[in-house]
Amino acid sequence: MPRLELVAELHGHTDRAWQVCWHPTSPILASCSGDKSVRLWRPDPSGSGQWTCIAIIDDAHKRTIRSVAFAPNGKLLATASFDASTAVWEQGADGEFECVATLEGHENEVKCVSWSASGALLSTCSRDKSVWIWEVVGESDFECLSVLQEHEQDVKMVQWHPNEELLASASYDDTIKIWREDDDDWYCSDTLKGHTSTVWGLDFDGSGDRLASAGDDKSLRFWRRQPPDTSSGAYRRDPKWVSSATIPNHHSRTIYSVSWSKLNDLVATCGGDDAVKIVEVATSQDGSSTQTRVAAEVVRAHGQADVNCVRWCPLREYADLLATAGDDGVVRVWRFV
Amino acid sequence: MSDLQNANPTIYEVTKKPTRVHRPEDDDEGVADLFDADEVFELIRHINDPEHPLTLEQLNVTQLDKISVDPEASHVTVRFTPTIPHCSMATLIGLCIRVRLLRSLPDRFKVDIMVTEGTHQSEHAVNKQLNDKERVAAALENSHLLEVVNQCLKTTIDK
Repeated sequence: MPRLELVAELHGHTDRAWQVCWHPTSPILASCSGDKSVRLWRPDPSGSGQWTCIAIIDDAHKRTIRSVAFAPNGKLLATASFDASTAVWEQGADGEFECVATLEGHENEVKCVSWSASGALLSTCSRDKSVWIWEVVGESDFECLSVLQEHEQDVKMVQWHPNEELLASASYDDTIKIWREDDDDWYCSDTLKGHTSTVWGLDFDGSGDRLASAGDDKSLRFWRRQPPDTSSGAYRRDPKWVSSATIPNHHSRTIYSVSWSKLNDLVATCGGDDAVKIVEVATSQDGSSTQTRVAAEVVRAHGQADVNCVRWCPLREYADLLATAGDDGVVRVWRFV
Repeated sequence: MSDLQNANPTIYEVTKKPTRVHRPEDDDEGVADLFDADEVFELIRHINDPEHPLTLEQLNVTQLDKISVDPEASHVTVRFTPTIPHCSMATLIGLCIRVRLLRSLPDRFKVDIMVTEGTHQSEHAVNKQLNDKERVAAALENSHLLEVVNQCLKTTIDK
């Protein structure tokens, strides 16, 4: 029977840890917190198995840092804060992080920041109900391409497709929206309805043809992309996302985060019931049926504290690692064995 | 204060003494002292209403029988009753109750705060907002709002 084994317990944050993000090419983890700081962690290069904090960014924002994201090249790091701003950081030769850009425009709390697969685009979302798309013009120059205002409530999360310029957003309005570009014009190409309360998290699989989502209704939902209907006379022929499986009451309280390993068909979830769960997903050849099975579970992953974020490591040699962030301010690294 | 929503609220008699009855096992060091509804009620009954110099108990906004506690699961549910169904203060009152419990109960407790069923026209919206931890966390970083909450909680200290 597979299980989750605790690899490291990272202490340092003095308030709730909201999110973790893996470096795209090295075994480095970034975490952000209500203590307004970002911490970077890595295992000791000697191979002792000890993890240590290698950098702290603590002069970044005036309020909670809600989200942290490494650019695909690993050189830039973006932070999104309740102070309504998003900052972009570059690590200098001395190891210190320098702020190279501050993206302003949201009216209030920025809740998530995500880089596109190519690193050419950045997206942010906020309690102001909008999703912004930014273009990376130069190393420290970011230009707003579009402000998307179709969600009816706060937007909790944005996540780019793993290889296409396609964005998914999750909202307090209980829906997920898919955004595409057509001749410099960003538009909503699909609205995924099914959740009965706030959608807190979503993630694509490695191919980008499947999506998992979860939230306040405690359910874990799976969606798959269907080719556009060519018989339709619509001006735009967009692929549509259809529900392929639902696990109701997957957790006993709100699910805050979902992560689909880009290397295995494993989906990790965590939430307000303090648990972390791993689900094995099997999709039939033609994609028409999806089977799911809970493969492992830690009942109290952060003691009796909510678990706010779970992320699989994207590196092939560490494909069995995942990291979690909790209300106890602790970041934990786990191995799925 | 001419813009009061409910200028003449009904005022209810309150129990003068703590509602909790002293039990023989309270003196037994060997018996685990579990949290119960009485204790939670004691924490929130003296919260001041945002509009009136009256406590939530005096306005019947909080009532002992609307509190449920599962000490084994470390779970508390508090239902509160706005004085009028269109009360715009409902979210603020709920936030005061949440902050009071956040500051007083051990961290392990999961707290759900809801409007008593059928007593507010925006019941679903108020409940959703009060139980969204991100919204609550952001609200508590708003110094103006925090000051208002602290003002309402002043009357609860050292009672």
